[in-house]
Amino acid sequence: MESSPLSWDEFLASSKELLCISQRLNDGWNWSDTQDGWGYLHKTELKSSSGNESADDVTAEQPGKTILVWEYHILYSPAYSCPVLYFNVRDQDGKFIGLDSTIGQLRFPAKTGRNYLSVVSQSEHPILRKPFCYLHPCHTSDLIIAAEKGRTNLLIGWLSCVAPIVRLELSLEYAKPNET
Amino acid sequence: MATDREVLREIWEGKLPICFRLDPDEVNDLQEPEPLYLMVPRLSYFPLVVDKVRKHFLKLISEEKQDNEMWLEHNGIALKWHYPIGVLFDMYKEDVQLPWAVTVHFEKFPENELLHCKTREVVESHFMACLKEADALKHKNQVVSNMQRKDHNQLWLGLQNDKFDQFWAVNRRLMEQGSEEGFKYIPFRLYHKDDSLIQKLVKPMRDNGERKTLEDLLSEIFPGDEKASELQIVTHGIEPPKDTPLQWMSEHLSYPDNFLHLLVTKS
Repeated sequence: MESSPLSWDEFLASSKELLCISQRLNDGWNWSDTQDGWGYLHKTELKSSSGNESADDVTAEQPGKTILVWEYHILYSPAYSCPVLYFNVRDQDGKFIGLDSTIGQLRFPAKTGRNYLSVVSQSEHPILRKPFCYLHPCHTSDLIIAAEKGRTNLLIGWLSCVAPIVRLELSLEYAKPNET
Repeated sequence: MATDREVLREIWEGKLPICFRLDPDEVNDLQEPEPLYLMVPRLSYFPLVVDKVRKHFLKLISEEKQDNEMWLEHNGIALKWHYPIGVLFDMYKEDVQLPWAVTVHFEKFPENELLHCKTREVVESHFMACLKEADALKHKNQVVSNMQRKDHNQLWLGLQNDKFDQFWAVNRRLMEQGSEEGFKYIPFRLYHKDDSLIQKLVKPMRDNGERKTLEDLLSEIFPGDEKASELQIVTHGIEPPKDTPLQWMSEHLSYPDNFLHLLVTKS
């Protein structure tokens, strides 16, 4: 396949659009530039540890449940020409909860079965060079090529596919065509 | 294709003498434990060569720490197992005398520095992920994904068991050039002094078909920096001449993960 799924410039433009919507919604996405001309999107969310509640509920202390800090980073992979999602789940003291506990917090589609390591593992954040969990990018390009180019924001389209796995809140506003 | 077989062989056989010592604060014994000396392949990863080290020190640490994950340190720096041993050594070698003194720990795992590695499968999955990424750069991921599971195994076992012929019987296919001359992009990681890791898409050829060299790579990474060509680049403990063609370097000086690991040692 000759066409590249998502070029760096497209990633930049899509990120800009996402940041615009985020600013309107005030839901916390930010952008950081790197020294060598790259950059990445990032966001932090607080969630209760055991699962199904929405982020709004976390302020209510419930026995047996702890609050976890989820950090999401969306980086661009030049090798795969597509976005890659890095994330870390820490307790309130800032300590990583471990890969096994992290996997326990995720919501995999049923067909993943127990083969989690093919989907998520720990890796070095290529920019911060610190340990992060990440979703393997192998199939991301298929996902993006499947989407119709030009009509939609490919970054947001991709993010809406992976967000449920990592319990990332994504408002329906992101799906609306951008009029600005 | 990687044709200079004696170069490949020489690189493969690079070894480092290492002296492992248990952190004195973790010793649960009246006597100071004997250090353990090992000769390890530069191209391997620490978790693949330290079974003996673990066994040697386990009897000297307290009962409740026996199942802890072991980790290694050099001069206060936690050693990242997911880099090949030779890369780690070249990173820190300015202040190292041989044998390389490495401190062994079973306590206080540095969560914010190191990836966990409880089994060899973790190393395998990291290694395969690197291979795939390199193949995506070289051939748009067409070679690795067309290989069979047994080929993947052969690469991994070749590396794990230090078997040159076994490894290269499959790796040569990853080093083949596609329909065009040269790879699409050169898979490399450049480690800078300030601890940053530089990634960039660099082609092995100029538009006019001329081969690019290591010097061209540096000027593409540091555009406009006149001192770029004076940077000292080390890999496998040697300083390749700046006029070495990139395509040749990629085929012959890549680590088994199919990446060139280049260290800026002097600027």
